[in-house]
Amino acid sequence: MATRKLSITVDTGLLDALHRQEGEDLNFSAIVNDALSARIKRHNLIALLDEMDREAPITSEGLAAGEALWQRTVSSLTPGR
Amino acid sequence: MATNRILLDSGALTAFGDGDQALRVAIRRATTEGIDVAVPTIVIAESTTGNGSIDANVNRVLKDLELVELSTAIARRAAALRYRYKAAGVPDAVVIATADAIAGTVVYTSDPRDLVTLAAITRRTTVVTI
Repeated sequence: MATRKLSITVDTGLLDALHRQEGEDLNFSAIVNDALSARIKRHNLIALLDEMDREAPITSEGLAAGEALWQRTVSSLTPGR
Repeated sequence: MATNRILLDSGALTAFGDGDQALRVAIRRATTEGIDVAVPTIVIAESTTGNGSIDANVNRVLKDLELVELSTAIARRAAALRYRYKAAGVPDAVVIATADAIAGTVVYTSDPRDLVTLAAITRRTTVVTI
């Protein structure tokens, strides 16, 4: 795998929080690679969803069912459930 | 929003591949909010046949989903879950063990029975029926 060195600037608060969570010995290259990979995957997934929507448009019933599923996803994780 | 990740089990993956509208809407919402949608690799064993034409729909969506490999640690957690709930199948135990590895994970499934029982053992994962 070809690699390239980058100089990056990060938020000090986030960096401190990450050190508190995971210690001082962090592999920043792996963290940045994971973030880049996840961002590309999300972009590709949205493109796939766009393609599927063009092939078979979402109906009003499908939209309602999807919003209901999303709300169940979100509400299942609210404190005190 | 405390959700970090959504895992698809075999029923959810197959439904997504088949174009299930509710799933498409929910997965778009999740992805837009920066939540990863992932599949434990053991689900591939349940959802595919090795025949490209039969698997076309599933393969189409799999290429754009995160895959979570079955590590030794996850296999150990799955074994412990099955010891507590012996009626559970290996794939379901692996799905919950995979979900348990990251707090705030939601499992989408079309068949919640054993998954709900397994998730109740550790109470780290939420199972949502699609």
